[in-house]
Amino acid sequence: MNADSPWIELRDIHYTYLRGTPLEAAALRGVSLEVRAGETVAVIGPTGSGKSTLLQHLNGLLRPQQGQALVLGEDLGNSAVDVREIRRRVGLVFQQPEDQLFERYAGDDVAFGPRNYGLPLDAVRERVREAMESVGLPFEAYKDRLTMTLSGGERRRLALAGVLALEPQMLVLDEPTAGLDPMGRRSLLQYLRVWQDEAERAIVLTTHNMDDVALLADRIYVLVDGRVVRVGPPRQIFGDPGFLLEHGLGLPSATQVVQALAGRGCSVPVDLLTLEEVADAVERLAYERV
Amino acid sequence: MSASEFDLLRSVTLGQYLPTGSVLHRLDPRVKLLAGLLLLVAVTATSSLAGLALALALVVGGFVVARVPLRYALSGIKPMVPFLALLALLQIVAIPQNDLNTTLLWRWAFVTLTVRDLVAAALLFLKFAVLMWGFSLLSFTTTTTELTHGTEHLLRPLQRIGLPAHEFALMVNIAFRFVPLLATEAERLMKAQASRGADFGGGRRLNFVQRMRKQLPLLVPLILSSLRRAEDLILAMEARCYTGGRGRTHLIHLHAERRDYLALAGILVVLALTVAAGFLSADAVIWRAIASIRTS
Repeated sequence: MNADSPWIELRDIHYTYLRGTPLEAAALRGVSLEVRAGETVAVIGPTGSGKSTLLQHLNGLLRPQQGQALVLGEDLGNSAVDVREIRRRVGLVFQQPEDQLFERYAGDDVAFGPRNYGLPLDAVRERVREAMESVGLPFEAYKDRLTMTLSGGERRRLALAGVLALEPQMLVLDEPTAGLDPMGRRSLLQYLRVWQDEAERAIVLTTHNMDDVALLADRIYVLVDGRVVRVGPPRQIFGDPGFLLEHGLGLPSATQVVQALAGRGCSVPVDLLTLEEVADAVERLAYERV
Repeated sequence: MSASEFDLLRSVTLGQYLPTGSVLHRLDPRVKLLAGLLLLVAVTATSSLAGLALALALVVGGFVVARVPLRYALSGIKPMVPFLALLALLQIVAIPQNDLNTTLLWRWAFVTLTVRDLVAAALLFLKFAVLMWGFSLLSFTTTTTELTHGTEHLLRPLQRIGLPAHEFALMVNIAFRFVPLLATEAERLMKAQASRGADFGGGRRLNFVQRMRKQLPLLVPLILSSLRRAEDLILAMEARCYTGGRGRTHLIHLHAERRDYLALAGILVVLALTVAAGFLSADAVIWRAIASIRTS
């Protein structure tokens, strides 16, 4: 794999659930997607558009039925590929991962991954310590807490730590902030950003929260009915709010404010992503009018 | 390794409903339930391969009439094959059929394999298969609501001796409904754990102990989520003022028509023959025929 080839390259992926049975349902109908080193890519789309199915192709949980999936230089269509190593390097965090904790003690749950890869005990301990610290769960204070007694936000972060303990170079997250309170959401996003800035790391996430997307994403894929209908940087995608609303998707707060302003005859640029930018634009406008 | 490493639902055909709108779908659910019950009795009671073949023909005929793809319907047996094979093996080892009338095929230490053994193992296998297929035919063609109503109607006479017909029917219904849900849930958990390096033996075969050990981390969250789901269900039912069967009226009233009686009569005849085949020693006739072909 040469240095500047993309970490992930999906080409024309098709996937049908229960293929060959009377209950078959097409989830992906020709999706191409690229993730480059250090990038954050968001996949947005209405429920049932195939987002989760797509994510499962990124670490070999699903093999492409048609099309090609190149992940970190390996072709996942080839059954001889060491898929466990791919899964270690591409950490996948499912929706509501806190429901999947199964160990009695928090530390043991985080250790599940490193143990599966046969690391020696002190190495496992070190991995667990680092992973827990990096999501704001101090090791000494939390390792012997009962998982069931942690709060929802803590459990979500513990589940994230369970994946981070594998020291992946990429994180794939399915609706990481869904169901969290505002505080929980902010801190989770903060930990993700810090993690990504520590080294050259990539993130792929799906979400219905467009503020998350506006905040994190370098590039957005809009998935509708198993097809990519639009790709582009956030400013371009959110610069066309009509298109997103038409497909039942939401808008970032900034875009909503911009639209409301435009409705009252205030012309601010349409491609603003954060409320800060909107505030600046409004301020400039106010000065111009004086 | 195939793409269906985690595709658990793929192999669960029992409990699925396939809305093809065939005549079997329109049949009174009570008739279908009774047919299932009769099939259970007949298949358990008979000891004749010919009889079982008849019952099998009835079920396969049912699949055809219901317009269910045969390959899909029959594939439901796949996940059970290892258990059935184990049972068949036990049958051969533990209950040897080595009287003098049978041909000895193979002998090793105290284990003997005779033609009778093979027949007994085949009987066992076929019995399970026919039952499993029969019940999946029932679930392919009957919605859970119909099943509940049907069960409740059929059990109503037993209310007099204190059986809570409505509650019982509801219980069966919920149990059926939870099977695909649990399979989906288990699939999700397996995938999450596989993402953290758990090896469910995609390509290689794991031995029994290894496999059991892999299942353990699945069981805890699976049981927890089932309990949670059950509690949600209770809340949802109570929020809609559910207080059990007493004084409850129904949206759907079942009426048996002529075709329902005809279907039931037809099924009764075939299954009676299934049982009768055991007494008529139909198999003996067939064996003799085979033996005569071999000697000639």
